[in-house]
Amino acid sequence: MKQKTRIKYYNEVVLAGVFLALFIAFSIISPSFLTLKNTMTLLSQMVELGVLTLGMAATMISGGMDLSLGTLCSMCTVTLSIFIGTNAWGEGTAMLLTLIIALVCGAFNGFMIGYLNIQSMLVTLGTQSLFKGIGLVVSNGLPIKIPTEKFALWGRVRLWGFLPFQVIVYAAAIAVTILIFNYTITGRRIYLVGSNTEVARFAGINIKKSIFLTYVFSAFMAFVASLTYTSKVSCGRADLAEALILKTVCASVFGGVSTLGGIGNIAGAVLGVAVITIISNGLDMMNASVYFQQIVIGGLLLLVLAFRHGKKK
Amino acid sequence: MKYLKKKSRELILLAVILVIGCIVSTTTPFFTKLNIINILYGNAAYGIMAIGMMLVITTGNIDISVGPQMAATSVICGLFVVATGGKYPLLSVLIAMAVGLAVGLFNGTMVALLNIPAIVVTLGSMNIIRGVIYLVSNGEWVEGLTGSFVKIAGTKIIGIQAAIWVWALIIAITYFFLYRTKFGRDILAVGGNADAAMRVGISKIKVYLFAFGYLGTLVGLASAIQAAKVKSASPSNGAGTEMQLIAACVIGGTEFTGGISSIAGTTLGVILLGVIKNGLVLAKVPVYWQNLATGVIIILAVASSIFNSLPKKKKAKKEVNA
Repeated sequence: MKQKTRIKYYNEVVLAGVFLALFIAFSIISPSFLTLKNTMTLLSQMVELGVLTLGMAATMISGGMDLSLGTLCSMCTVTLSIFIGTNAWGEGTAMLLTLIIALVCGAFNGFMIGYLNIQSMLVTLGTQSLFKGIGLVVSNGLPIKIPTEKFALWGRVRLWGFLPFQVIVYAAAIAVTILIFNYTITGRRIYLVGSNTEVARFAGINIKKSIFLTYVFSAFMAFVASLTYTSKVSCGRADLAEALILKTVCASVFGGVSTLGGIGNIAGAVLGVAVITIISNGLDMMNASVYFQQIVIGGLLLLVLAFRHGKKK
Repeated sequence: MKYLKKKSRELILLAVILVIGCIVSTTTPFFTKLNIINILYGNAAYGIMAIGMMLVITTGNIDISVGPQMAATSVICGLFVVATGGKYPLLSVLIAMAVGLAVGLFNGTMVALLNIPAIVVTLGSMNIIRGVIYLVSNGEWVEGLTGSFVKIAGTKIIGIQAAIWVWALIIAITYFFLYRTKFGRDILAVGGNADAAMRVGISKIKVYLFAFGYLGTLVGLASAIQAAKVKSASPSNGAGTEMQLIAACVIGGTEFTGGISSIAGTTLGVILLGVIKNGLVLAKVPVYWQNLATGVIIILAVASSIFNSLPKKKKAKKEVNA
């Protein structure tokens, strides 16, 4: 039993070690890295990727993959900006309406995947294009501005002068997700559905409902990410978060979440996000090109995987 | 009748394409020889790559590094063409294909030997290739492609551009070896059930290497055609191509679980996506509607597959009860 727990958290310990090593290495190499300002920047850079990764990790644990997360988040930034900027409605109303839109989109995904039993990648490939299309049509393909004095809380307010509010949002999202997936029956059911659908069926689990809820949850995370993103850039655009989607897969896999479902840990995915963000932030500080960062992240991903799978054999 | 039922998806796709064409032709002429050839010519590169993507999906894998592969092959091919002044068109195309083959074999090796899920492997190689090609080219376009190379795509043979002939040739070759040779049946077998295929002595490694290598080679071919068409190559080439190709395969009835594929369906899927684009342009609809239309088509195509599978399930249940 003891040995099992050690293997269970082996991956997370390694990742935390990698993160610490990178943190120390960058602090020594670059004098501007280990400052309060940059540390806070580093934290706030994690937020959108991190929140979306929580949704992605959830769907991957359930045995699927939500490719529509990025465009759903972008679509939410567009609707938020239209409600607050163009229509000048209250922030509460705008957020509530956007939340409803996001949940409906998530429910659509969940219905198609859970109740109609269609492969998640097929469905979300379609809705990915659909959500982007809706965002583009609604916004006429233009970025929609919000007056800078409005909607500042989620992405631009710093508590006590240094702590970005969005970091607290991220922390809350992590806490809720870990709570759901590690300590509630619904969360453990999703794990079982992901690892073995047949066994889950024999155990009397309502598989359809579990999968449905997973996609509603990931849509909720897309909504949360859209709050901080819209506020941070003060505008909404239909392709804002699209490029993040492959990074969320990258971070989840990095953190030990298997694409085959049932395996992985939310904490691991969070650490995966941290490692990816610190690599790009640290290399930024050293004036390395963005393309070099891409090579490093891609190479590291393959190395980690080769190591992990090689060991299994 | 049985044959028609088996090919129902292809027939439906054909009908949808014709209906869209009829709707468009109420306002602007759609069924002209020029427009049809334009659609085929414009989508020849996609069509060629979609065949390769279909093969990879048939083996139960997926390759999302197609976009960067396109960039790498077209930039390297472009540099060679500029260096030689476009004197050796065939050699230039072969170089592009060789680069694609190398990338494909790398992906295939990682998937087959290390047993890592293909989506993750290609996610990694996607980042690496894109980064390397940007670093090597400094993000600059390769321009000024000249000589006989730029004529390879547009030269008309019996009134039809060479690119379309190449597309047709690739379809014929793939059809022949996938359905008429032993190795082709092996590919389908591995896609259907890898474990069972291994037990009857089919090498999974060989099949995976072949599928990824074939896709890479076709990507090289397609990007050489594309480069000749636009007379330039850019390191940002092909962004989002993988999703387009996967969409075409899915519309054509290829299933992610592997083992089920349709060359005709995939080709019609490519044409359908091309017709939607072309039709929306002809009907003067704002370009933003394209994504929405594509999304709706994919969802409809995916949802329609459950109508095919429903009766089968009921039958299976009855057999169990009996």
